[in-house]
Amino acid sequence: MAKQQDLLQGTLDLLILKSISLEPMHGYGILLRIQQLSDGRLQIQQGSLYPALYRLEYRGWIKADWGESENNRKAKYYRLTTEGRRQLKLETENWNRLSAGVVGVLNAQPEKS
Amino acid sequence: MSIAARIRCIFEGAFRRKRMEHDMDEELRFHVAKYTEDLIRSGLPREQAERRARAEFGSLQPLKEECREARGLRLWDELIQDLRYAGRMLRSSPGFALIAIFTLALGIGANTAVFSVVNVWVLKPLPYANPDQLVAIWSADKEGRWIGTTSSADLEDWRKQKGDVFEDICGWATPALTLQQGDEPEQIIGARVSAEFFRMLGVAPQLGRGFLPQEGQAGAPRVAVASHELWINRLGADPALVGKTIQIDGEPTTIVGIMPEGFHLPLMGPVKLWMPLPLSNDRRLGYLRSIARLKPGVSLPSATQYLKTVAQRLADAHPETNAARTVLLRLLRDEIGRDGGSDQALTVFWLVACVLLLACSNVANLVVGRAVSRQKEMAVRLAIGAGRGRLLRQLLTENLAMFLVAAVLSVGFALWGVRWIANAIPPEIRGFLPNSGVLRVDTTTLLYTFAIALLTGLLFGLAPAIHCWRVDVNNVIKENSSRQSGSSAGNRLKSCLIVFETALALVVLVAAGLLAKGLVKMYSHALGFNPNGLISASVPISGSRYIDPDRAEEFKGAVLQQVLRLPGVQAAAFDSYTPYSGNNSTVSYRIEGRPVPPASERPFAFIDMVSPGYFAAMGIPFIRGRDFSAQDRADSLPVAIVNQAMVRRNWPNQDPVGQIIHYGAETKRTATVVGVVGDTAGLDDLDYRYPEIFLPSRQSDSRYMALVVRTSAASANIAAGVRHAVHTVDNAQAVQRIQTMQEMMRERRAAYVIVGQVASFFAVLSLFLAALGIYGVMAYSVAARRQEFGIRLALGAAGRNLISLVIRQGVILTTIGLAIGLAAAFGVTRLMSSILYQVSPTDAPTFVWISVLLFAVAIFACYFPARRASRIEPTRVLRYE
Repeated sequence: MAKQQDLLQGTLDLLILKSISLEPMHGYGILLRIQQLSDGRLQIQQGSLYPALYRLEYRGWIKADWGESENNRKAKYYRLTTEGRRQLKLETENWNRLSAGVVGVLNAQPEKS
Repeated sequence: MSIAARIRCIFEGAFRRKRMEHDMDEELRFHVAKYTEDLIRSGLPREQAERRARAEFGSLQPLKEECREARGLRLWDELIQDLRYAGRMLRSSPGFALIAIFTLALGIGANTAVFSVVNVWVLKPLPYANPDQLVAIWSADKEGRWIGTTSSADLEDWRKQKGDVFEDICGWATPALTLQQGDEPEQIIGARVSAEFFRMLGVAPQLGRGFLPQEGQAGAPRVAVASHELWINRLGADPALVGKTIQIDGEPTTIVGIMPEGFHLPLMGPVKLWMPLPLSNDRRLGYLRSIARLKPGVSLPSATQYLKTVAQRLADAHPETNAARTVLLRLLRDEIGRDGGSDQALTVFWLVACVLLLACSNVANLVVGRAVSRQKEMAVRLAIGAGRGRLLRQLLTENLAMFLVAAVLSVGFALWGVRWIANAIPPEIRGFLPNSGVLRVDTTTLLYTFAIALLTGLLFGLAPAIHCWRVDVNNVIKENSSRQSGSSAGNRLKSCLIVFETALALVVLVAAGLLAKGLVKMYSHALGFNPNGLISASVPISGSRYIDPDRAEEFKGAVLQQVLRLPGVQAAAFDSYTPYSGNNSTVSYRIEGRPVPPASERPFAFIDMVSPGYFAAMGIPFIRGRDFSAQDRADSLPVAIVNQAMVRRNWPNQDPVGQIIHYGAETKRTATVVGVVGDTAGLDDLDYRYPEIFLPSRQSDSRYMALVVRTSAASANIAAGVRHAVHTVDNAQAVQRIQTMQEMMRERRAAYVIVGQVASFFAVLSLFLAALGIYGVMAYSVAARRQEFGIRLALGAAGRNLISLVIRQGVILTTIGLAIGLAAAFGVTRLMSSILYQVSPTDAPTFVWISVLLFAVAIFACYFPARRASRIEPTRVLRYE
């Protein structure tokens, strides 16, 4: 089993927001989607997803509705709220800025004398 | 961040907990099931797949707890838990809970009751358009002292010179009217108002219209606007009434409008019907009250300045009537405040707030006492890992719960209190109060109740909680004895409580003391006449047949003859402006043989036209000379009687009898002084005595008859008799108002009396609470020092040494409290000067005596714990150790 990558604080929120911005999804679906999109590089501890979802709902960024899953079982589907969409945009920009910065630092070449 | 989402989450968690938990379970189960399915599909056997799914998912319970927390539910859960615990704690010591909750409920209830008064009388804006522009205008003397009403001619002149200062100026008088509707004629209070009155206040009639400017002119058709109440109760609530004619004072009068429900100007009283004010060019008779609307942006001082120059011009033009007069302007709001109880309500409001603080201090004292005995519990909890913040929150919740339970109970006290206050207001003056004196506990009041319960709960719950929170775990757990001598912080807190309570009680007691002293003064100052068994009835003589003064005098004489024949009447007479009736008239004068002062500096005197026997009937003592008699007729020598104030001012060392006074228009009329009588109170209980001139009714031409009847009979019989007498002589005349002198005086004094009673009640309450608080603290302190006292006694201290030791501690704290309280009282009592009756807000004797009283009570409260200290049995205490 692949060793779990430690996620940066707050990154999980960003990943969840991004996943459900594509289409409303249930918790398990979000997990699979993140694994799939990251080519299995990002593994999320199964249970830890739910407190994060509840926190996002509490903040008003996502909303949950009960719906039918693929094989007719009741499942809770999460979708972005308008505010969540704004938050996603904001956090994406933050992330890009951060990673660009980190990449910049890591690409630094030793100065040639 | 969305607050709505948070509230929804917490709400769902709090009130739909079952469903939320169910949803959460469902969701997590779904996840595990899905994952298991996927694992099976990837080839694992079912059993293994299930085990692996559950293992990877992690432990369910902590996860669920984490989820709940993520939804903000932890606070809620802990609150519920704390409340349950608080309930258990209170149930486990019912004595403490009962005393604390009862004290708080009493304090909060009293506050709620008084707040409901303040809410209606002070906080609600006056129900007129832009009420801040409205001012009341009074006549004043040259020194700026209030005289009162204004003549119709003066009012017209003011109106003509409104300038850029006044939007409008309106006057009114409130005569009684006889409404003939159906069989029974009924007396109602009416008002004659300037035609612009309703427009100026900015209140439109509910039906019909207000008055037209020309309707104030002489000869205009008689029209009236009815109050909503009259319309509903007496006029059949008929919308088609507007335009119809009813009989008022025996003459057909067209109703042109109906005012909306609740329309009311407190200064006017309970007016049921408004009619246009007829104009008159008589400057002598001041009977109008007036209000005005300032133009936007005009300030009260500049308006006063402006109207004073107008008044000066009038004084120059009409020195015979106006020389001594100027004006006094007050904001309508303040005027209603003086007359209508807002100042009184506010004062009582602050007093009752002090009482609540006292009640809270006592409860805080109890809570600290309990907290100390729970120190061990707290220490153990801390030792086994409770967070201090969590503990603090729990203690605070416990205290708040107590305050909120008290708040619920307090509503009962509040309802009772509001009823008491409403009933204490004499019915005759309710109409002069905002909202017609109607009081009720409404939503605003209830919100206030819970707000103060929360606020005081936080304030007074926090201190004991912090005290408990500071517990030093090591020390407390190590200590073996069941009684510690209280931490020093606890002692400091308790000492502060004594100081605080003494200071608060002193402020309340001083305020009540000043009010009570005013009342005593009001009831003991010399009236100058005997009000007992005196009945006053006023009859404004109307109709064209009485333009001839002789006919008017004939009428008065005939009525008086009839009244004198009534059974039980010992004496009867009449005048024009009876003391305490609120009516008066002034006149400028000069003394013959003295230099004629310039018109603007002529002195003025109050004037009254009286019948022979008036002074005897009133019980006004004769100092010198003779009374008027039947021989003083229109064609005989004009005579006058003056009061002692007039003598003091004009003939300090001379015999006034035989002196000649010139008075009236151009001081052309003369009268020879034939007698001197004592001074009377009457101008609203002022103890300043104005010079006054009495003229025989037959030598003047007054159309106003104010009967005074001295009787031993019941006032109701006399009232019927007087009505009958007037109707026998001329059935077109109506008696305006019949009241006993005591009633008239009670009306004028009601505000002082009610506030005095309420303040005294709260003063006694606060004295009791302070004594209880001091006793509680000292008793606790003695209990905590039992060992120390035991040792002292064992080492040979005498019992009385211990008594003085304890009392000395009490004395020091009380003295500090008294000093602070005196300073505070000195600072705040001046705010209540407007409602004090001729007592200085810093009246030294009151301050001294109240301090002595409070000090004595405090020592008394210390004595019992001190005596207990002296009776400790050393052997028992020491063996205990």
